[in-house]
Amino acid sequence: MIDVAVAYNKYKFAGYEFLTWIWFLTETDNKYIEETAGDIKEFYIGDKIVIENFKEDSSEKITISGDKANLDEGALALKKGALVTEMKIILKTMDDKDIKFNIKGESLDISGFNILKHKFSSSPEEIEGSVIEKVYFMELLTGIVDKLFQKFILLRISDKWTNTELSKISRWIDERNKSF
Amino acid sequence: MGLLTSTSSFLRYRIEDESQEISSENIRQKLKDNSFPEIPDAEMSESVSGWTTFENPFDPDFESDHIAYGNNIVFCLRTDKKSVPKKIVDKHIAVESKKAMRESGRDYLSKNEKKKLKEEIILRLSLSIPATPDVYDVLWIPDKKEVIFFSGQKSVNEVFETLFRQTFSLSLIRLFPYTKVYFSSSIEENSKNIFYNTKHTKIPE
Repeated sequence: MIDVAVAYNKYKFAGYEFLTWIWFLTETDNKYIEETAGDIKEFYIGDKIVIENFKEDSSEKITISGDKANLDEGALALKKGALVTEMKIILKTMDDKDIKFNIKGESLDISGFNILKHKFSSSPEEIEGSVIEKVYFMELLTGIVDKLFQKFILLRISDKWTNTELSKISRWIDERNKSF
Repeated sequence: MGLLTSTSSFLRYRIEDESQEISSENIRQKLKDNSFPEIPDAEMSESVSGWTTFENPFDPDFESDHIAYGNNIVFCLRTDKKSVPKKIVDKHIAVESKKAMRESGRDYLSKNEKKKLKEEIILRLSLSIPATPDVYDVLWIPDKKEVIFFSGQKSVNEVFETLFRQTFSLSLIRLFPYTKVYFSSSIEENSKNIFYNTKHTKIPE
């Protein structure tokens, strides 16, 4: 195993490419995401996405956020070689709970993890049940991220990535920018 | 931003040593041995850290408080820190530098003298102010050899990683793209090696 700090920086790109691929899939083959993730009804991008274009000595960053966020500007940045570095995702579970979370590409760290309209009791009598319930939702979420990331890695190292997937992503970016 | 707050943020770690099994009673004892030390404010220097319980973070009882929740272990890191406002430190430095120069008969202080003076002032002022406590939740999932820490602050993460290693003699490895592949049991070794040699490819225009 190589040094952790070196590995963190060297393979950040895999997380950025992963989130860019997720955006592509949500707009072209969302069924694939939902089937891969399993145990959910819906998977879609929330109200924030961060896109960065890394150049040799600088980087350009675009943050798109808000209730009616329009991702067109982000698609234009992708056309110029940028990648998604962070995004908000919303999942609908089988029992109709909406889980909202933010994921960073470089670390795959989760922040802002929130189960909408659901309150966990912290009263002493109910604390154990609340912890078990929250851990269930956390494991559901991390399990989904892990399954999707593993699918991405296996695709990314295969010939299919360079032979077909990259050109599909490129066509999607072109189509998006035509309608912009 | 903890385990039971409405919004949570967390980091995932993998326990490096896969062979070592540790029982919940063993964990309880080790947490107790490295629990947060109650030190009076007047005797405490800049910062103190230790483990506490999830149930009673400010008054833990490691004999009776829960640490096992279902198959998982939950406890907390408590860090108490004293932070002296910069403007107060600067005021004391200005007054005491002048005094030190007058006593030495010089019109300057060396770099080392300035550094030493600043450290003495911060230490002295720290003893007269109360510490601010912070509590961060820890979730240990033994089945997955995974530990989840509810903070994304680099300095706190370092304190957590160090104390965890000292307490349990186990190293934690942050999970991020490379380590996720490295520890994956579903990705074959030859596929891992291909990934290790992969570099970013631009999306063609």
